[in-house]
Amino acid sequence: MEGVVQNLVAEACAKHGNDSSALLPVLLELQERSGKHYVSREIAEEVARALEVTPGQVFEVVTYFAALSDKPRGKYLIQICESTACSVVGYNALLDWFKEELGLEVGQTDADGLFTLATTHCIGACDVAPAVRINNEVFGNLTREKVRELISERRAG
Amino acid sequence: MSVVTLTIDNQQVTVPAGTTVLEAARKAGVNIPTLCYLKGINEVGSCRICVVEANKSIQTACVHPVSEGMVVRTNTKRVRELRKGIFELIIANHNADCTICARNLNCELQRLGKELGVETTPYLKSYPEEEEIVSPTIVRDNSRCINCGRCVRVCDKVQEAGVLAFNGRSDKMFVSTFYDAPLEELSCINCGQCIVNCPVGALKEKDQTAEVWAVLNDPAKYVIVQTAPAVRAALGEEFGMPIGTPVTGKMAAALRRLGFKKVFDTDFAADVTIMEEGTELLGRVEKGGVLPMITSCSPGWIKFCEHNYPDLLDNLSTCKSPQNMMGALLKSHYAEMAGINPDDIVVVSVMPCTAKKFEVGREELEVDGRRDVDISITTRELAKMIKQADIDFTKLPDEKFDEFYGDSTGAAVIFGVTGGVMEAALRTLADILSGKDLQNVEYHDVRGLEGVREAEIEVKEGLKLKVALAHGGSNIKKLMDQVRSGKAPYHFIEVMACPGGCIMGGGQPIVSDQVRSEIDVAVERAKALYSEDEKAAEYRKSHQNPSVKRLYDEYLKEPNGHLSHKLLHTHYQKRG
Repeated sequence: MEGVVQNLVAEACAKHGNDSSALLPVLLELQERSGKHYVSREIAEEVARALEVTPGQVFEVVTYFAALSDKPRGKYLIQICESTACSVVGYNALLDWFKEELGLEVGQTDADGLFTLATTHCIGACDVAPAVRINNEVFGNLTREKVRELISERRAG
Repeated sequence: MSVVTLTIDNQQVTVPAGTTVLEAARKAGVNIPTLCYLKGINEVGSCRICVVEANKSIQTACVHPVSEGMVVRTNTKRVRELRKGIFELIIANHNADCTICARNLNCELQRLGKELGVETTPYLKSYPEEEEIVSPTIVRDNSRCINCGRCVRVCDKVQEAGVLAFNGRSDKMFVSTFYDAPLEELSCINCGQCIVNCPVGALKEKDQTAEVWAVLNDPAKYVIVQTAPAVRAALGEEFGMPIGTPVTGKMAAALRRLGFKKVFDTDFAADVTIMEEGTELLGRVEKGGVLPMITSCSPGWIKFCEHNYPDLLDNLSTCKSPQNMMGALLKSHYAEMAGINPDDIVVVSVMPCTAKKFEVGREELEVDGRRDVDISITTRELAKMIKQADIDFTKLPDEKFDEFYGDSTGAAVIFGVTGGVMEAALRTLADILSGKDLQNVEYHDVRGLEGVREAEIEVKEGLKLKVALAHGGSNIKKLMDQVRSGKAPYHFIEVMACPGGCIMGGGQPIVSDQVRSEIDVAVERAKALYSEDEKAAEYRKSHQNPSVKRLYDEYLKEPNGHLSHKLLHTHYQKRG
């Protein structure tokens, strides 16, 4: 198991230049490959060793950025944009719809590990506000019906 | 080097270009309050209490660089009011129940409130009990934390343990640990540098004074105390005495008044350490053992080595630390000599160190299932007990340690400063190898506060010992990387986990950053120990300690012998 983590981290570090300045892209890549949208403690420890930074520094970066997480998240990471533009055209309602449809509060993941509900800083989709990002895809001009669809499509797999 | 001239509060000052306004002001003798600032370690301008007017604009002095002709005002109405507002916002998120805080009367935030003249604020709130024990040595209370980051940066940059970290950002940010894990799961070395660098009461040692009071009140227990060399160099500070005042005699008097049956000196065991470690080193040199041999007195260093250099554990001396040697001897030889059942003996150690609290619990140090030392308290905890007992410390007479286990030499007392163990060892080795009683006992080549030092010492004609020293995690790493690479030419290395050695340990009295900017605390406390060494005119070499000689003649027989190995030596574990 240890060897697997080591190889994974070594590969990501090599790809981004094996330097402490590559910490962010390395962590994003490893999070992407985790399948659970998070950076595990084991991975973080190995990244610290590989890039010669302290474990604490890695943890600070992981918890600072909304894009990174230190806790496992669902297969689908739903990030509702809480920027100014989205806020004035229905962010609150959008957040409520997702909460109701998923039965989750912000920061929670459902029991089968499918969805995590989160918010995010501006994702630059102001033209289609209110917007949401699910994994790497952005959806805008959302209505309650569209929210239901987005969820059921993913439930169906 | 180009220089810049500016005026600060109408005084002209010339400093090198690139200097911050704060450092320029300190040079000019102008005080600017700081909170998050630690020179060279945490210069981030995050608390903003150091605001000044620089060319009429508001700037944080700790990060703002000087420029030619700059006009700085540090105490205008605008600045004073701003600072007051900033202070109010800081304590809005601070549990300010000062009277029941460990740092009451020694808190940088509290002092600041007084200085700024804040007597009311609209923002105070009350907090639930938040104290939590995060390791066998350290207790934190995040309700008192002001997010200054000093602990995090010291852990990261000075000690390079890197186990503390900020979690999150903005108003949700708080000081935590790597993955919010308990410190004992991480490579924390228990050094306590986070505690002595905390400006407030958010971090403190696990307080064991109640345990000591309890055994002192138990008539069935024979309670013995031992005090480490560095304690006497700093304890007086807790009672308002100047930094660097040695208080050996008053400390012995205070301990006796607290009710300890015997007041012994860890210095005795430091002399024994030299006998054991010196013999071990000679053995390794003669028989081709693992070199360089590295000292093992500092429990912070031992854990650092176990985590970060598990491949170098064979380089560590097998000697227990003086604290534990002392405990093991008290419960064997002393118990026999005094006719006391060792199970009735309670050994309390007073240490400048928080890592000692962890060390006493190590199972591999036990002898016949008995712990060497039962309770280890810090210099600060001893001061607390003296205050609780209402003893007027400064007025105490100078008393002596009790006989035999209180006997020591000048070599032992300098164990408390970086370079001291090395110097003590050299004094004995040079005598043994030359077969003479050498008159020159001072080895200035190994003294000083440089982070990594090396020296070549001729211990007898034709034999030069190559030695090196490091103190503080980042310096230790530099030296140990060299050892790991196989390129270190040394025979003997002294390592101390805390920068400056034990005198600057995590259990010592806490000195504010403001005072530290005026006084080099390590230099002053070191002077206290060197002066004690010089005063010990009769015996300045460990092997000359008459009681240590008797211990070997009558009990241990020889250094590194069978009984020594049972009582005084140990092994280590890889921790990864």
